[in-house]
Amino acid sequence: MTGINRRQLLAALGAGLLLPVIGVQAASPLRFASASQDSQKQHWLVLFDEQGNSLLRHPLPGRAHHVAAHPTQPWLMAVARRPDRFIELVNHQTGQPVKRINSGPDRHFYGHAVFSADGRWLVATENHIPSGKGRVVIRDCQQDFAIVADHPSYGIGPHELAWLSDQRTLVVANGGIKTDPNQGRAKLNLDSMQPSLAYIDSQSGALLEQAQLPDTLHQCSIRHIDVNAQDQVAIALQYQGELVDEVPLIALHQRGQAVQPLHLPDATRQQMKQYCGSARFDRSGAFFAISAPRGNLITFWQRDGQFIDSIKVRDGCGLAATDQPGAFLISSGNGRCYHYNLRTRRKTKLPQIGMQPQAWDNHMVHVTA
Amino acid sequence: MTLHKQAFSLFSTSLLLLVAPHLQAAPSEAQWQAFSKAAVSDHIIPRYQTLNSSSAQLSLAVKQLCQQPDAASLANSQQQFHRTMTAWQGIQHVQFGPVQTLMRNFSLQFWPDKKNLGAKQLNVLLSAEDSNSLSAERFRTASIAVKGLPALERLLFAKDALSQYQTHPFRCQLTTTVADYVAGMGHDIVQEWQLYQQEFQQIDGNGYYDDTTEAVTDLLKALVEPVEVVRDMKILRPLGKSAERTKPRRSESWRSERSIDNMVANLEALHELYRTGGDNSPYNLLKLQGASDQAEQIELSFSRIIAQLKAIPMPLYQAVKDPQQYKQLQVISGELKAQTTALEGAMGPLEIQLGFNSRDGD
Repeated sequence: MTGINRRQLLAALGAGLLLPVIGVQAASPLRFASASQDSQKQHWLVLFDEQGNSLLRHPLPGRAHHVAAHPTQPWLMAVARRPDRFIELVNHQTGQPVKRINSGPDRHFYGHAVFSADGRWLVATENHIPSGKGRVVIRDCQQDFAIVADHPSYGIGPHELAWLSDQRTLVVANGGIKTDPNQGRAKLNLDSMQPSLAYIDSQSGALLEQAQLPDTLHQCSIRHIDVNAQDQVAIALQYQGELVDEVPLIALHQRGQAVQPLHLPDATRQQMKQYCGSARFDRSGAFFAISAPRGNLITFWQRDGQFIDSIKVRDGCGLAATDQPGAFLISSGNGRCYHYNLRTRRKTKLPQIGMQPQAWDNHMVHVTA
Repeated sequence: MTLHKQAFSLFSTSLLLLVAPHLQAAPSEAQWQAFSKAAVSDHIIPRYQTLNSSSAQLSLAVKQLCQQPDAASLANSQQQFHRTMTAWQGIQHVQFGPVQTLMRNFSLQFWPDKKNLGAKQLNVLLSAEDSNSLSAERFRTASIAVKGLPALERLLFAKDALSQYQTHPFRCQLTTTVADYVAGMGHDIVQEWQLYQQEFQQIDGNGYYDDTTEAVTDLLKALVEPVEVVRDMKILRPLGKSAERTKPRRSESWRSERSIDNMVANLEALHELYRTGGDNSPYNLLKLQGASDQAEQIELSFSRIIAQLKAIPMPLYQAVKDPQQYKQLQVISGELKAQTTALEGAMGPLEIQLGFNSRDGD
C-alpha cells in the first residue's frame, strides 16, 4: 500500500461505516511488546499496537532480550541480555514499575525467562558464574519473586526455555557456549561445546530427557526454541564453525525421538550465514517461523519439517504469533515491523511505531491480556 | 555594541535556529540515491571489471606457461596472479549481490583456511592425476578450497614451481582449470552486475531493497565493516598472542609475499568508496551534517594507515618476527581500531543503522 496507511484508510472510510459491512465487532488492534534501542543507545521496553501507536515506553537499565506478558496480571517483563543481571517488570496499564529482579553477584541472566500458565511462577535461565554451570531458577510471583527452586540446566550456557503442555515439564536450550562476565561476551569453549535440549521436571529439578545433535554438529549452538500444543520443539541454531560448512540451522524435536535437522535449499541456507535468531510457532501450532537476521531472511516451515518459503526482512529477528493461524509479526533492527500471512503470502509493513525509529531487539511477543 | 549590531546578532541567531535543524537532518533521499548510483557505477562495477580483465589475463598467462614452462612464462603468470589478487582485494569489501551467488566470494578466496583444507584438497587432486576430476562438471563440485586464488598461489609460488611444471603436465592442467574457474567467476560477476545494478538505480519497493536506506546500508556496511576484518584477520592473527608467539604463516598470501599489498588494496578501496559520489559521498554528506571534524579525521586516517602499511619494509611474515616492525604493526592495529570506531560513529549523524540483531545478536 503506498501513500496511505491502514489507519488513514480506516479513518477515511469511517470505522462505523466499514464495520457493519464486514459484520464483526469493533476489534481492538493487536498489541505486541519488544525491547528496543533508540538512536541515543538508550534501551526501552515498548508496548505498541499494529496501527503504530506506542502504548508504553519504559526505560531499561541495559540491553534486554526476551519480553513476556504475565498471563493474569497487566505486567510486562524484559529479561537482561547476558551478561547483565536484571529482569524488569512493569505494569503496562499504569506504567508503574512492578519489580526489578537482580540475579545477585554470582549470577547473570541469559536473556530468557517465562511465566507459568497460571501466572504463579517466573522461571529464568542463569549462569552460576563461579562454576560456569547453567541454572534454571524459579521465582514466586506472589512472594515478591523469592526464589523457590534453583535447578541445574544440565548444560552450559542455557538460553531460551519453554513449558511443555503438561505445564510441569520445562524444555531448556543449553547453548553450550561458556562465557564469563569478566571476559565480556567472549566465547571460551568453542572446541568442546556440547549444546543440548534438556527436559526438566520443574518440581523436582530432575532431568527427564536430554537430546543432542550428532557429535559432528557439536558447534551448532541450540539457542532459541518454541513449543506447540503437541510438544514439538522448533529449534533455531547458531553454528560456531566456518561460514562455508554445510550444517543444519533449523531442527525439530519431540520427546523420545532424535533431533531432526531440517533441510532447506542450499542457496537459502548459505544466505543465512550460519545464524538463526528466533523461533516461533503461529497461533495454530501448525506452522513456525525462524528468523535469520544476518541473512536478512525469515523462513517458514510446516510442523512436519517441510520448508515452505522464505521472505526478505532486513535485520529481521523478532517474531510473534498473531491471533490468526499462519500469520506472524516480524520486527527488525532497523525499526520496522511487518505482518506476514502464509495464506496470502503477503508482507505488509506496519506504520512506524513512535516518533523516531528504534532498533527492535531479538524477540517480540503478542500481548493478549 | 551598537543597536545595529545587536539587531544583526539577534537576526543571525534566529536565522541559525531556523537553519540548524535543516543542517543536521539526515541526508535526503535524493542525496542517498545519488550516492547509491555513484557507488555502483563509479566504484563497484569498474572494480569488478578490473577483476574480470586481470583474471582473464591470468588464465591466458597460465596457458602460455603450460605451452612453454620456463622462467619467463612462470614469472608472467606470477605477475598476472598479483594483478588479479590486487583486483580482488580491491573489491572484496562488497559482500552482497552476484559475488554471493554460488558462494563465489568464498570460492575466489577461501581464507583463512584454518584446517588447511587447501593443501589437503590440492594434494588429493595432484596425487590422483585424474583428468576427469578437472572436467567443468566435476570441478564445479570440488572443494571451494581449491577453486580460487589461494590454490593458484600454492601452485604458482611453490619453491620448485618451475621444475614441477616442466615435469608434471597434470599440475599444469590443474592450474589452468583453477585459473579458468577464477576468470569464469570474474566474468559472470560483471555480467550479472549489468542487471543487478538496477537494484540501486530504481528503488521503488518492488526490487531487492524496500527503499534507498536499505541499499545505502549495504553500501555503508561495505565501507565500515572491512576495517575491523583487516585488523582482526590480517594483522592480529599473524601477530599472535605476544611477540614471542607470532604466527607468520597466518599472514594472508604469504607465499606470494603480498600480505601487506592486500591490506593496502583493501584500504585504498574503502578510501575510494568514502569519497565516491562527489557532493554526495559519505565524506561530504558527513560534512553537510555538521560533522566536519569526523569527516576529516576519517579521511586523514585512511591516508595515514595506508602510508604506514606501505612503509613496512619487509613481507608481513618477516615483519611479525622483527621487534621494531611488530611494534609498528601494533600501532597500525590501534589505528584501524580507532578508524572502525570513527566510521561507526559517523553512522549516527548519517542516521544509518548498519545492523542490530545481525551484528550483535545473541
